Amino acid sequence: MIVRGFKSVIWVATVGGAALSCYMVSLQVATERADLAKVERQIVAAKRDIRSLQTELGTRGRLSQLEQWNAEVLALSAPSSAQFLQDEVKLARFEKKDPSFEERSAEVRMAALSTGDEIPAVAAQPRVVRAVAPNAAPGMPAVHQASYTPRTASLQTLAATPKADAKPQPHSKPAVTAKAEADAPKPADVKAPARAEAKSVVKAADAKPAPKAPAKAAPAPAKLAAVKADAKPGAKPAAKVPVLAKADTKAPVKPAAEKPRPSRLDGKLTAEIRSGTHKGQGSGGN
Amino acid sequence: MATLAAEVAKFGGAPGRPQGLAITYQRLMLVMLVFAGVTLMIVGRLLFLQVFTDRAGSAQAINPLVPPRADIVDRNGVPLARTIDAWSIAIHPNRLISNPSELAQKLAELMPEKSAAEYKALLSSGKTFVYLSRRAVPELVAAVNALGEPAIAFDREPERLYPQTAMAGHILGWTDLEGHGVTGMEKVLEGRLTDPATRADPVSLSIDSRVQAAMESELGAAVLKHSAEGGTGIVLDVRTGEIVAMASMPTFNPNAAGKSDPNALFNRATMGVYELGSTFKPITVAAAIEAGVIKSVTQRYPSGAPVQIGRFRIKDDHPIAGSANIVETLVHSSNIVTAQIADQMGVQRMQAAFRALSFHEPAYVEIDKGRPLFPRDWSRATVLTSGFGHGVAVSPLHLASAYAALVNGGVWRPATLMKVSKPSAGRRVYSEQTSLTMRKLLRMIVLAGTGRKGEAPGYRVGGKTGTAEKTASGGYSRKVNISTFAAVFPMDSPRYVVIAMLDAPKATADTFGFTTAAWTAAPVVSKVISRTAPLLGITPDDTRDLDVSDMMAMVAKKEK
Repeated sequence: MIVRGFKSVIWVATVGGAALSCYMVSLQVATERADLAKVERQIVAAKRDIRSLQTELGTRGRLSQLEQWNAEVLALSAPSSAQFLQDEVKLARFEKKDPSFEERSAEVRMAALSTGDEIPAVAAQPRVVRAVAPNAAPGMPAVHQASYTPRTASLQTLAATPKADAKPQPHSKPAVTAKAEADAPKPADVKAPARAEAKSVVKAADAKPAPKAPAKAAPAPAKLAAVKADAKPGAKPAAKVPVLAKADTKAPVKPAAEKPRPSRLDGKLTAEIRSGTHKGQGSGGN
Repeated sequence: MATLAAEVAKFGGAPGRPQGLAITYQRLMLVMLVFAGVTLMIVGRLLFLQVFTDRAGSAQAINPLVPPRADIVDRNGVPLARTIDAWSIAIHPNRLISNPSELAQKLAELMPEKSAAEYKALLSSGKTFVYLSRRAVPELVAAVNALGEPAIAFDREPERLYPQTAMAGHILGWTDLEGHGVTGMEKVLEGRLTDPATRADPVSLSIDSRVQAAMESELGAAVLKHSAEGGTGIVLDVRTGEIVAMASMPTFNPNAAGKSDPNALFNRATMGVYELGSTFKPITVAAAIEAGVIKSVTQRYPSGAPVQIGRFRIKDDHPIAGSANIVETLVHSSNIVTAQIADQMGVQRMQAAFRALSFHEPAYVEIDKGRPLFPRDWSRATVLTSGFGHGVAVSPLHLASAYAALVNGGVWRPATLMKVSKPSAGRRVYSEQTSLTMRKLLRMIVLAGTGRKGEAPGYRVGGKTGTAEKTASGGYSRKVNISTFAAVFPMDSPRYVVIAMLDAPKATADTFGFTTAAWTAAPVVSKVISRTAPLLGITPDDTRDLDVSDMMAMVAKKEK
């Protein structure tokens, strides 16, 4: 009985609730839409900024300006034809000194790590080897350290036991990282073409930061092109890496975080590019 | 008159029912209908908005990222012309609040283009709207804003900016204040640049800005060094006819085109026509080989004595004693022999050879070009002199296209400033065999002849010098020259024609008093090739070259 009396009230409440929830949904949608539009506006503004900044950068770094800087400061000139090499064989020509047989087979040092297991000895190869155990904490298992400083600048490669090739783990103590201090002939003679755009035919070094494997030296006799040094960039044990690979193994240095400059094509620049009397304008825009 | 015969409805309350209740029902019904109607209207409107309003489209129409005028970029996408938002300063003189004479004084200090009196006249004119400065720099806008005059209005207007300033100014041209192209590619591409359907995408020109910059800087340095009146340089792709670089000295800045020297606006590469001298000799020789006049490069002609034709005497500065074969003729650039070859060719065939290279009509390029001076009536003297490049005046671009045809296998193609994906078919002018012979001859000129200063080590350059005497007051002046060097590289597989021309160069100490092309224009080509060839994907190689050993054996004496 009482339900019948309130029936209309319940109906009104139900309809009202439904309408309200519908309204809430539409309100929510409207809010989302507004947010989306705002983000879109921000994207447009950002793209505008990018375009403006690109224009500014392009204008400041215009080719005539670069030419002027080059004339005043850098003094770079076009690479000569001798600076371009067609293949690795030509690159190898730059190795001036060919080590004699005596030098190559003079004294051989080997590194071995005894961990209890019998490890097959590596056959003696005519190579000069230097192996160092970094992080050589006192009380470590016997690490046979072989050290040899060559009199000549002959190329050194490394012969390490298979165990020594194991991935250096931070917890396992006996990890020995063999390190090849390859005193390779520097490719300094092989000038990379001075210009950035000039596509060099020569790859100076193959050294890339590889995620695995400590310093691994090429087994082949010394050929400059064959010197390959893979070094784990973050691995501490491989403190020293061959000269060629050094630059590459460094973690990319982040430039000091600068405050983004809300720069536009400011008046000075605009005035500068518009002035007909700009330096060198009349004579070829250099 | 039509008579409306309708039964008039009797409206009355239902019989037997109380009158008041019926009226209440009717009113209720009316109210309900009104409510329903309003609701339907709202629903209908909402549906209409939902269905017919294209939000994406409306966003597109006002997309602020589409510039009002499309960008112009080079073949690698480096912007050459862009549109930016610039400030404009205007004033409503009829709404002025402050004292006109004081304001005029301040404005004259800030913007010295007009005097204080002129500003005062402008301010007291009572006009509704006057521009004070268009394309104002932000500093000026800030300074004028600081005057605090509410009648001054600031607005953003699109402005055409050429980020590379003077570079490629002759190619790009410029726009007027309303943003319409006045000359150059801005004018040629007006429709494409302003069409709302296409202006979102930049237009790619065939220009390579790095090559263009190198050409302009080397040419500018040479013009400055030799105090030349002007100069021009062209780099043309022999396979497609694309102009990779085209410079003309003196240059102007398209950002301020109105302020530049009118002389600088003249594009010597396409608008200027010159008698280009000995650079025509390879064209004559190629035509003669093609026509069968020269059957072999060993064919000999007497070269010791000048050729007399009417009142002209065709002679050489350093005549080759006795006789000369074709290789020696080009290596030593003999006018005497070339004139004889042209004589053997005759009027018809020489004319046809030049017409095949379109020397009789304006150059095929998009921008403004000059009409060549092609003789209407050909006498025997015209034929002889045209053989070594006098009497026919063409633009340097004509010469570049002709040299491309000489070396690319014999196909002439129109030059273009637009980046092309598929080269035009062109028309065959020389046979493959003639083209190969010409490549070897051009290489010989650089190896053993007058073009040795144009050599760039490793790039296998071939080319021909040309030192024409400039016409001055009715005659030719020996001292004032048009020095041209037309080169092609690499000769074993030709890719680019490089032409440098200096207008009236003066001798300097290190050219030993010479103003010839070998001392003035050839070094420009050499430097441009050394600088740009690696950028164009040509690796120098000292071990490769075109085999010219057979021709080398035919040259008795190398050019000193």
